[in-house]
Amino acid sequence: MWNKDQLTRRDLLRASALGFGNMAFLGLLADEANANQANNPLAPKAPMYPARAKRVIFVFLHGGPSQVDTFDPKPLLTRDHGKPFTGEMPRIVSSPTGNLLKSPWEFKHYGESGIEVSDLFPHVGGCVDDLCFINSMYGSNSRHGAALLELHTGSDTFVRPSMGSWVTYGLGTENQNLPGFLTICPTLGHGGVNNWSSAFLPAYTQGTPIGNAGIEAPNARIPFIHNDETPAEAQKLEIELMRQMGLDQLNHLGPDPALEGRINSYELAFRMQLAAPELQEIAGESEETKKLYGLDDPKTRNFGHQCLLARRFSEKGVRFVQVTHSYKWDQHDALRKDHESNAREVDKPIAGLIKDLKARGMLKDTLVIISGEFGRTPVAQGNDGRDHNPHGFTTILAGGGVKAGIKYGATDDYGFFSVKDKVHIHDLHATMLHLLGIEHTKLTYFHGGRNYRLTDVHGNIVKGILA
Amino acid sequence: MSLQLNQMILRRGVFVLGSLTAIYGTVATANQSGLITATPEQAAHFESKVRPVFVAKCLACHGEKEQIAGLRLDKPISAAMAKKVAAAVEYNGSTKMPPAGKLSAQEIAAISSWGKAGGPWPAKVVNKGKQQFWAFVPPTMPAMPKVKNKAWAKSPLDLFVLAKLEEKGLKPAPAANKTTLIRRATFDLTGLPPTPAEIDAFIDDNSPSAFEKVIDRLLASPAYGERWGRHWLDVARYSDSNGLDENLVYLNAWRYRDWVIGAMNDDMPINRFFQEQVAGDLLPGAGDSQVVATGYLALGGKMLAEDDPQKQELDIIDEQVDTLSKGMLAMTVGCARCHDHKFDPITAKDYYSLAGIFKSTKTMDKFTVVAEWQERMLGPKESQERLKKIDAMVKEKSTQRDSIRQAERKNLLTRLQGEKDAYIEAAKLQIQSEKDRSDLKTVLTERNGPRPEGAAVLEAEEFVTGNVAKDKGGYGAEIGVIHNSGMYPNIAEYTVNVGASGSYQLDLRYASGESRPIRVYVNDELALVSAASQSTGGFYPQHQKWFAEGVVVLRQGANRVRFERDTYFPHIDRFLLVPRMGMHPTKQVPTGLIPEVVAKVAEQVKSGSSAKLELPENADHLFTPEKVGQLKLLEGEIKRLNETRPVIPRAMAVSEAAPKNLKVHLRGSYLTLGEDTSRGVPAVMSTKTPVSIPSDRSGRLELANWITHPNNSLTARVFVNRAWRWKFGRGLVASVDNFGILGNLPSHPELLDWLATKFVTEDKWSLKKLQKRIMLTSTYQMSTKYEPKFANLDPENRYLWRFNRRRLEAEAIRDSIFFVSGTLDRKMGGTMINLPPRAYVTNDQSANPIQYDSPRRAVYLPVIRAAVYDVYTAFDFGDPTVMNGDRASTTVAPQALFMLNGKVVLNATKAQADKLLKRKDLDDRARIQTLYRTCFGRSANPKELERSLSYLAKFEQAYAKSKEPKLSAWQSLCKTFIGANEFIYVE
Repeated sequence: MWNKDQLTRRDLLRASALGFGNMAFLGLLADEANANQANNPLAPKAPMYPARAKRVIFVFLHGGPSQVDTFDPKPLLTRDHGKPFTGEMPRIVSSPTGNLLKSPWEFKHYGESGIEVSDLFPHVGGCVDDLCFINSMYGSNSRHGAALLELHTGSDTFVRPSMGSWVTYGLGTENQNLPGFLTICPTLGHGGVNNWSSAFLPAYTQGTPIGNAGIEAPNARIPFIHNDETPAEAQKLEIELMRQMGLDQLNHLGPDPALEGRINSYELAFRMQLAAPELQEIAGESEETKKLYGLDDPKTRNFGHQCLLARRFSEKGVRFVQVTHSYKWDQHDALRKDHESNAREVDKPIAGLIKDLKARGMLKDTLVIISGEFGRTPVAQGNDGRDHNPHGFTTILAGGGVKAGIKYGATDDYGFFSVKDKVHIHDLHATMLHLLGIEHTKLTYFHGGRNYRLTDVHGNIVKGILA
Repeated sequence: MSLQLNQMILRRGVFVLGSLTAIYGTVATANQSGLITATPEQAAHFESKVRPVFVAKCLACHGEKEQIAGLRLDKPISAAMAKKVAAAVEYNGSTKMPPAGKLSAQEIAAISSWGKAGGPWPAKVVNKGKQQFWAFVPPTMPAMPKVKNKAWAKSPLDLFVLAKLEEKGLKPAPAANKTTLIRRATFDLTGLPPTPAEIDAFIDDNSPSAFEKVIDRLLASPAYGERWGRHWLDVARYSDSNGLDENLVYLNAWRYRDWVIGAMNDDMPINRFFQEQVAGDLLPGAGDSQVVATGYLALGGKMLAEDDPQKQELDIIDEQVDTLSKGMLAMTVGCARCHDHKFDPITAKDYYSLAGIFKSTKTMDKFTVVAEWQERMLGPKESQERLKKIDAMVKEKSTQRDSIRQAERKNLLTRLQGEKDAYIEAAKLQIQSEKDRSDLKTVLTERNGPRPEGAAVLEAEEFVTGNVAKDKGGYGAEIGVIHNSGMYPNIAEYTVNVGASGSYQLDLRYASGESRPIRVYVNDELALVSAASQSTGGFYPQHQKWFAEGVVVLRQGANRVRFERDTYFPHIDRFLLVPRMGMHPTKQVPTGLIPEVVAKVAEQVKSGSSAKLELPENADHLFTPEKVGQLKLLEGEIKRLNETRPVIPRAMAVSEAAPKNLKVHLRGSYLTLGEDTSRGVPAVMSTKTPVSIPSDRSGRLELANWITHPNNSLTARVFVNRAWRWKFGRGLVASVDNFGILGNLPSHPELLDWLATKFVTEDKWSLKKLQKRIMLTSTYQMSTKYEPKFANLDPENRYLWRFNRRRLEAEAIRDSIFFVSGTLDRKMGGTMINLPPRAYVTNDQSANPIQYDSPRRAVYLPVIRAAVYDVYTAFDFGDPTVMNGDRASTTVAPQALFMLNGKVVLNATKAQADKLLKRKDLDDRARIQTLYRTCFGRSANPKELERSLSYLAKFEQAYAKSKEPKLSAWQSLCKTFIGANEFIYVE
């Protein structure tokens, strides 16, 4: 049922049946009516089975936050600080490393669940009872570029569709005035666009970037969303004239869904250029909310703004929203100083997002994923740094059908390798799709001689975290 | 509908199988070895539902590498064993498999019904049965079909099309009119619209050869190569950057692009076109052009930061195998990397035979992070020789220099051994002084702060003498810093005036991503050996920090303070001296000792290891004057030699490497090797054209010759089908990149074979001849006229009852916008990228430094992987990391946003409006007619004329107060023309 050619054919038939004629010009129809518009691949699709989550917010911490310094406390690492690591080292490593390095930060128990979080994340600590910590994550590649691709697309070798594209392909989106997959201030390095690319999936599933990591969140914009020269009223005139020209041509040529679709796309574009900037305008948010995300503090303002935008877009029905704290977490040295500073920038905004979603009743059907592309080694690089470690790290999930206030899986005594209830990135993807009501082995796309999936030939649903 | 046929094949086999009982209902009898051969239905079920589960979840323990419990699931197993497997996956008995967790219900159902039936295993497919699959049988000249409407057919091509139409109860659409036809042909062959003059000339030409003349003119235009070259560049996944992880610029990729455009314009025979790309460098008489052509193999995206170099090499080879086999043969050979192809008769052995050819080909210079691809030298042999000679001389001089240096270092070190105790003593003193220093507090915390009484604050850039570089940009944005100049030692000397003599604390404000300790001299006395020795995390203004460095003694009045370092310098912003009367000066190294040696000993003492004298990395300044002179002389000569190095153009290209066969890599991993293979081509495709590769060659030349052999069943068919796709919007085989079993069957098999045979035997692989063969037909010249009855019978127009209306591709849209506005620059060739070789084109924070606002044809705009030009992205350009002969054509809102707001559109329409208004010979009606003729290739009818006029009036009135209401109104009108469907859809 998920075949490109079938979709095309079905759409073709539907489109010819409905036609363009009954659409009033710029009649801002109710979203639902728009959504059901026939010639529209982005119309919401029913999940394969009842979904626990309707949408995803992915908070990406780029660079590789250290699990043993944040959410995976290791007493033995503290005890054996300065001693050599006696276990077997990974077959492939990025850089030479030395002896075990204890975490410079203390861990505290938080909440009813008593989950331990380091002093780097006091605000996230305050939310532990709403969070699910997967301590046994692992991936396959020790370099940023490959690991980013793996986390975003499932493949560390080839260009494949991003998970946001798969989700949009499988479920469409709920707000027809906005793209189905948005990525706010994404990184342009380490694969750049490949991390939000639709690859061989249809172009409408491509992630739409709002700005990039080099642009402050309040100034980030969707490509071509605005020009300074043409007032909206003038654009209305233009669109109306083009519609008349298009209708004349159609009368002459006979029905053609592609031509009809294109006439309608101008109206959609017009609505989008009104809707998107309006959503990015946060002046209407209460002071309380702004504070919740840390917008009153220069240190947290930028990332807090991203998180607030994520909530606003999700609220309006965007299926998959990603925010990125770009390439800051790569502490080969200056771990103490820089992890401290990075955590300061994201701790409050992340906690703010969780609390805000919960207060608005959105957390129950929004899946929040918080993760880096890998973790860091418990052994030291220099005397104040850690190397990349894809063999064991922590990903946090919240909301959308996930058990709250639990830790799942474990790394070894030093936090190096995932050992108990291991969760590969493929498993995370399978679980995400499951929560969205999609069986990951069935969401396939025929390309280049075979059926492809987000999880390729892998992936097991992590049943232990399902609520 | 292509899909239906496609599914019909599957229906027999895989998807519409009915119940499992129906498939496994009658249990076959086992042969003597207890193995059961699957029926075709069972085989299809096994391949689609059972084997994939084995591969994904069982083979790690029950495969080639390990056979736990003696079970191996990549080979046929006995009926008894199969039943045990069924029980194990059901989780009923004592053995529960897989141990990690139960399979899904469907997987269990599939495996258990298969196992209970005794595990019927598919017969070996290679060279049996499937070899007769149409694509593996070379094309032969088909018989001409019989048709009723003989008058319609202008060419045998039409007969094939018409026969199919008549068979399906369809009728061809009437012929297109001349305006439509010339617009179609001009876009088809050049990617640009016809000019009004060209249209008029064609309409006025009533000779029977009028259209042929148009075709000949278009084929002779350089724009033809730009258009059709770009088509092939899609298949060649052409790009100007690596994409993937480390996005480095492919600075020389454009040579390959220009070679493709040239080959198209020269009508290079396609067999030669392919040979040069696969093995140009190995062809007789090969020159630069042939070396450049092999860029085809070198241009793939690569993981340049891969910690596992063996995996990296195999991934690069895989990319080459995949791109070449899909591009030239439309075979997904890449699918056989991990296991035998699931559907096509291509084995893993075939894959590794082919891969061996590329293993024996050099693509890369180095595989370690960051890996480097090979670039081959071009140009006259003499320059290349001269370069080699200079390199040899540089090497000789460098060796001399190094041996002098080494000998001198050895001497020096021997001499120092006698003063070891003094060094250890001095090291202890230094440690003490560092401790003293750590007690000091910086005077200021911010860059600017209240200046204490008597303190002197100096900007680092204000040195009196010195050779360090000043920077007020990046490193020194808004503050100004000094940094490394490349002249060693780096020196900066200042005059500092103080009111009283005595002790002063020195604070430095600097940034440095690593420890770069400097020496501080006061009035020529060494005062501090290791100031500015901290890493601040980076080199930029945000990394600047104050540090207290020590206490020095100044005299009343002017003092000379000098900073010195033998190599890279920290980025110093400013420094401060504040009176600390009565404090002891920081204890210093006794004169006569070498400060760097002291510093190293100090490190050793601190870490508790035994002291060992070591020289600093650069110790030249410590040598005898004679040796210093010799070294300087040699350095000078090396520098001069380097300055005379000729600039040699380079191309991304491959060359021969040491021949090496590959073993089969089980599950695609080099850690699990299987049987040997010898370099060659897939067995099923070469029964009529066997290939043998000499042991001393890679086999690329043999591969190239085999691909272009007239008996190769695929190459010519695949290529003529691509050409058909680019002309009609859909291939005769719709899956243009996959002629395998899961690809589509040809809609017109005889026509495909006729075209392929003519192409090879009569046209001698000439694409221009093929163009004419296709265009001078009633089929090509049909209109797009809609016919409800036929639309019901064949909604996708698979049988060509009319011409397909097509949306222009991204490049054609952009070029046409420039073209109709009169701003398109027709300069050909060359690169528009102005960056150093292998420079990064993207990083985490900024888009690439590539400019796209050039008015040149789109084919010359850089193609940057992972950051493709946003106009391309909006209009389905696709991902240039992956080859693609069948671009999508979607309609999405971002395209409309581009038409409404894009800079390209706004600028072009402004120019267009401006030009129109300057035509004083025209009134508004004539201007509107010009617009219609330029943009749509036709005149406006009276209704359209009136509508445009009233639009202008309405717009002008509404925006009467704007700066240039008339220009704005005309620009707006131009925008509606470019935004109209008629502009970007070709009939």
